[in-house]
Amino acid sequence: MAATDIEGAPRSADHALSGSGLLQRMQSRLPLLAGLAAMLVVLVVSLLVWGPGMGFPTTLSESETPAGERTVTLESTIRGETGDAIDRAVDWLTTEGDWLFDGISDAIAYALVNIEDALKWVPWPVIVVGLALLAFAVGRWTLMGFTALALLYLGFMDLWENAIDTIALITVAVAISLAIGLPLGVLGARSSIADNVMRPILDAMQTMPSFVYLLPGILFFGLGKPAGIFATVIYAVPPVIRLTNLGIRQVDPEVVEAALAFGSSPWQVLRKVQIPMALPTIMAGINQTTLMALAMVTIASMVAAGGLGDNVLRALQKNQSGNGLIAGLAIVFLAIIIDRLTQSIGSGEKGRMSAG
Amino acid sequence: MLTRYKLFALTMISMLVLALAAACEDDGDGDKETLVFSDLNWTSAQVQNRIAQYIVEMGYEYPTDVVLGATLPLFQGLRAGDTHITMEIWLPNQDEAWNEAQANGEVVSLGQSLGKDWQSAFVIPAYLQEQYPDLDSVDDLKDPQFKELFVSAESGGKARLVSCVIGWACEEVNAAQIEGYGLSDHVHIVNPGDGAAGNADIYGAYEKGEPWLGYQWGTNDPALVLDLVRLTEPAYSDECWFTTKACAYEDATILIAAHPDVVTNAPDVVAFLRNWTFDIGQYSTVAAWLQDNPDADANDAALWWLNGNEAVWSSWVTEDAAEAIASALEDGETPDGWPEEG
Repeated sequence: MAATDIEGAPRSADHALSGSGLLQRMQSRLPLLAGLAAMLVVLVVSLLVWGPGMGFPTTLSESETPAGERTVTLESTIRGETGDAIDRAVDWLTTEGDWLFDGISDAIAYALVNIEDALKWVPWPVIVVGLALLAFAVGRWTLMGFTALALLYLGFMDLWENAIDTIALITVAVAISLAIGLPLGVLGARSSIADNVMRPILDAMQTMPSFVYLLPGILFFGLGKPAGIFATVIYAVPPVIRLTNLGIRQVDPEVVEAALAFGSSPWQVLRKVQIPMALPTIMAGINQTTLMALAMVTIASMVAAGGLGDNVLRALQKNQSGNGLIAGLAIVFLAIIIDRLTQSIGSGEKGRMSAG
Repeated sequence: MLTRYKLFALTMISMLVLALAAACEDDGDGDKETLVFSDLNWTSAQVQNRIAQYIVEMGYEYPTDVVLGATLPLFQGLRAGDTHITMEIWLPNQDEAWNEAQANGEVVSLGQSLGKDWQSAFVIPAYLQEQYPDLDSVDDLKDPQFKELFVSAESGGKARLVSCVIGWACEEVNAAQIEGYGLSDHVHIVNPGDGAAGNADIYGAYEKGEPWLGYQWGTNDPALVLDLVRLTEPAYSDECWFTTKACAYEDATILIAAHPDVVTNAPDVVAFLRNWTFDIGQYSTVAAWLQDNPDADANDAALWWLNGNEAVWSSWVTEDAAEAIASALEDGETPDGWPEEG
């Protein structure tokens, strides 16, 4: 609107008086006027026919049920019927897919129990000193100091065992996320169709309230660590898919063309050109996936996956803000250690490459 | 000329006027203050609320409303006077908060609801006991043959027992009971972090016809809907409860509670609530009906129960109120304070 006014400004003196100019201006506004008129018609008609406060038709049928000497009217609604249909599908999957879910569940539980046992067997000073040295090797002495203090905090606050459970949970969740996410990211980068299909699914995975898919998850896997892993993977896998996809798409097409011209197979292009050049972006995706997995520990605890989320939930249920903060901080410290260590390892590699 | 700005403004203004007119329509509820019920997020509490709301609105002509929420925030709400009536305060689960609030004069007890309830116990599905008739007490879990049934990948060779929600009082009680029964080496406790998650676990096992061992209580949905059997435990005694806890729970006490303002502002409602006798037997007929009528919500369930049990509720209220309620039921009226669906 503003644009046409400015354009028309110098000529307005001539055209305002001429009939054709007015007609032209009317014509240019015709779609807008027609749209508003249509809205007005709809408004008036619906007000006249149904009155204000008009609702959507949501009822499919009504039935009478006896209640004493009288009857109660029950409504069957579109939402009710749809929800029932989904319930039936979930029930069917629960009974028919039993063998599959049991297999997945046992494999995950086996991996987790072994990681936990191994980490709990190691005396804690070994872990504290080992991780502190690792922090020093990849970062600066501040990172080393922070790592040591944070781990001691976990220990002296009696959160050590639960922290180990959480770390085992995240390790397995991230491993599964990468096993699913990296190939899907590559697929999305290579095929626009796959990308267009995956994008809304990834959006749904990140925005769907967890309990909506967790309840079916419990029907499938039962309460316990596998259900926690299921929830965590759904929430944490999108970043690694998105950033792998993005990283590979950002590789200079001319470089790919050159590699093809030298006779590389598509597999060689992927392995020797695209993935190495996309590595910083992919690493950022892995880092994000790890942190998002940590963000899910409280939700995972709701399905009896154990770990630091237990401490948070217990404190909140009992209205103990102090205990809640102590456990919450423990999760934050773990996140910072994991984030800084993985980031330093990523940038360290890059630094060495450029130095060499 | 009617420019589109004017047209737009006209549309907006007309819509605004309509909206205002609609908003003004339902004013003027009389001079009695609205009574707000705490709509705890489980079925029995909501059905009890709908029944009480119906009686309060139709019989005593107070407007009512509900606030939906979980136990803890709604109890804070009751103490602060944001809600006025809670139909289910679970004791001993909420003992600490309840005693403190009562000592401060922030809440008043109006007697019990859902009486004659079995509180809490360790249960197995009935189909499992049919297969293994000898598995009938907590002691039998020491038997390797039965223990084997409940072993999972996580449980380290012990029987997996789905216990109480993390942070609830029953979490600690159940753990003490397991230890008191000498089951520590035989049972692996799993605590869900949320009631709905715990329920989903038993529903899933039941659907598949698998063995399941865990903690349930009388008014919890799975206990009402599924066919479960309690494992026998040593009988309750004060002596054991306050020392080792190696005995069964005492039957639950579920209180109706009100904010003190209600006692002064609505003495007739208080008198009616003191007469409340809706017990677990009544509620299990409602639960069975809800199971048979999946389209029904708590509103429908309340209406169904009120229509079929005039003799019961009319003993709670004054004669005038009973008449008004009966004629409201006859006319198919529903309270304004009922939520759209619930």
